[in-house]
Amino acid sequence: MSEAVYARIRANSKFAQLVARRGRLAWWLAGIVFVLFYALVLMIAFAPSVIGERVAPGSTLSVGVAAGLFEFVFFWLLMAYYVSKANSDFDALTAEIVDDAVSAEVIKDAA
Amino acid sequence: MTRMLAAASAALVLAVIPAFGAGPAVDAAAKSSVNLHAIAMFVVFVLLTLGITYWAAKRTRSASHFYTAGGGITGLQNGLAIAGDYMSAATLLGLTAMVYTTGYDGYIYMIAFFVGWPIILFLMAERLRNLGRYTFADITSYRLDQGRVRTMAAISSLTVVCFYLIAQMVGAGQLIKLLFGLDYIIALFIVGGLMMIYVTFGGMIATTWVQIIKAGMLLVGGTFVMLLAMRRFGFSYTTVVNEATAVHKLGFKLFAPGALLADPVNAVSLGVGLMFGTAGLPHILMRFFTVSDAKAARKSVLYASGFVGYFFNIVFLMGLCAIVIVGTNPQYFEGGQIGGRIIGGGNMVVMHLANAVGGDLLLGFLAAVAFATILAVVSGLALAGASAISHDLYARVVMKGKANETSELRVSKIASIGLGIVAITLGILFERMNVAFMVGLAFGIAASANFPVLILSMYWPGLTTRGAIVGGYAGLISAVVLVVLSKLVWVSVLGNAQAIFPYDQPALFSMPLAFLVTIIVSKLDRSRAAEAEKKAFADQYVRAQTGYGAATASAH
Repeated sequence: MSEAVYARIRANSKFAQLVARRGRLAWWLAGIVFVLFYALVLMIAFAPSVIGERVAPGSTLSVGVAAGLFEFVFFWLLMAYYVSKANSDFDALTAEIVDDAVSAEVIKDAA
Repeated sequence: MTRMLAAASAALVLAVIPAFGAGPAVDAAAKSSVNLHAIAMFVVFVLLTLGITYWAAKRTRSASHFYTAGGGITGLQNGLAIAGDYMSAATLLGLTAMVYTTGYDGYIYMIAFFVGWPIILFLMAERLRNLGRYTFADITSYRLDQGRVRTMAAISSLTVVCFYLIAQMVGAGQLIKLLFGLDYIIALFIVGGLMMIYVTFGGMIATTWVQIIKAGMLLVGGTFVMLLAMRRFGFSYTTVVNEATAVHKLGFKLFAPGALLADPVNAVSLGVGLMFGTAGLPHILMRFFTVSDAKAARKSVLYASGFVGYFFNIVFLMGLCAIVIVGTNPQYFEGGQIGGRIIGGGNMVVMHLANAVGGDLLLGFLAAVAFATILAVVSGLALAGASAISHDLYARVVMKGKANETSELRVSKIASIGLGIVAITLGILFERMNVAFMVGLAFGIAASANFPVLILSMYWPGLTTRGAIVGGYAGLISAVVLVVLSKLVWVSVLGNAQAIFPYDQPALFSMPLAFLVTIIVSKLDRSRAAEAEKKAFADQYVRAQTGYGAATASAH
């Protein structure tokens, strides 16, 4: 039964849609994290003096601390966005796809 | 079963009481005097967790309960437990100390320890939950040769667990000697003994609750110390920074990257190792199977990273406050020499801070938190190690899937006890060594041996058994060899004049090597088995994406 269900799910165009949409979002967000984090690492490696500067003259906040704090907060917000999106829209679509496939299999078996 | 638990706990408590009494008499110079607040609070923690273990033991009836608490942990609970697993005593003590001495370098480490979480959430959490059951090897071996892939996963898991255990046990012994005035060896036996009781009797249910309580204590304790310390500065970051840069020898250079990351390659390698190492730690991956579905798995990562990120920023503030509060108080320096050696060593900075702002009571509480932290992390590690032995090696490799649940459970309990003995032994063997590199090495191995095969098994149809095996071992061996050849071991431990491998963290080299070898060997694999394995990806992919056919929560 499960192999037949898997085949039905694969054949459903909504499945391709789900995978494409969720995958695109996940890779975009991962890409943002990747680029921002390694940009900071490379700044630390190649422009350490910039990291240690004050964000404004007389300020006690340094560029590095500001950037780090921004990453903590921003990355967490990206995660929160992904979870809310995946747990509502995508999971609803997933449930729909699985239900379609399972009930189609049940009807076929009954017939 | 529960009677055995009661007897074991009673024996341990009896062993502990005279130990506390005898503490200060022996070798008083090397240890601080007995801290009664700390001991009282720690005893409360132990009694509470033993009570939970008793309760959990009655509910641990099947393998699913033992490995994954029956899949019935909620997202918030699991998030706290993951945070508990991730925030070891090294986070509280080591990172505060690092901020205290080098300033911004400590913050960089914390950011690098944090960024693994978004990657896990976006690329792995859902597939982990949908494909796995008890161990991450369930996923890597899903469509590959069970025996060989699980053997490799178990070996690399146990390697990671052992290195992590050494760091925790040696840290535990030294910390407890200092904070509680107990002998090093007695401290090891207490940690090892309690861990065996939690894991053997209470399995994942008890381990999870120990983690949750400990995470709560750590978050509350840290917040409390931070608030009391910040009150000295009128809760103003500007005031803290002005006063800290005025007294610290680095001045405002405190906020520039220091010597730790002077070498660009080292900086990037550290970033890679910490980021992807997190995604390959067996005791963290295992936690994804304790929740009911992908929805809860995602939520647990969100909660966990929120707690971890919050705590890291508290640690940063505590480190800065300590520069002023601890760093200018002769009471905390040996011989009263400000700027000299800190009493108890650099790792004690946060403890002195607690003492300075909250007196002996807060010091006692934080000491109990540190002890509880080690205990909880060690238990999580032991459970992951025991699962690799019983679920992967015994049930799937030795018995080829024909083991019954009772015997598998028995093996997992024997394995937990065995790991407890191993942990105590390792702690004794490594007592006098610098073990600071062990956690970094554990992350490096996890990033090189576990992560590449795991992510490829979920994303790449072309992965074959041969590729996974050769690539996985290549990552494991290269990571270990590079660390042995690095300054941390080659010079500091083995006493050679110069390191052969010039960087501290191997991941930048060993992880790409593992990926490359896995992909090349898989591509060259023309065997019939390889064809079947590639074909099986299609069904695995649907299950990974939809959760159809995934292991479900068992009834309690």
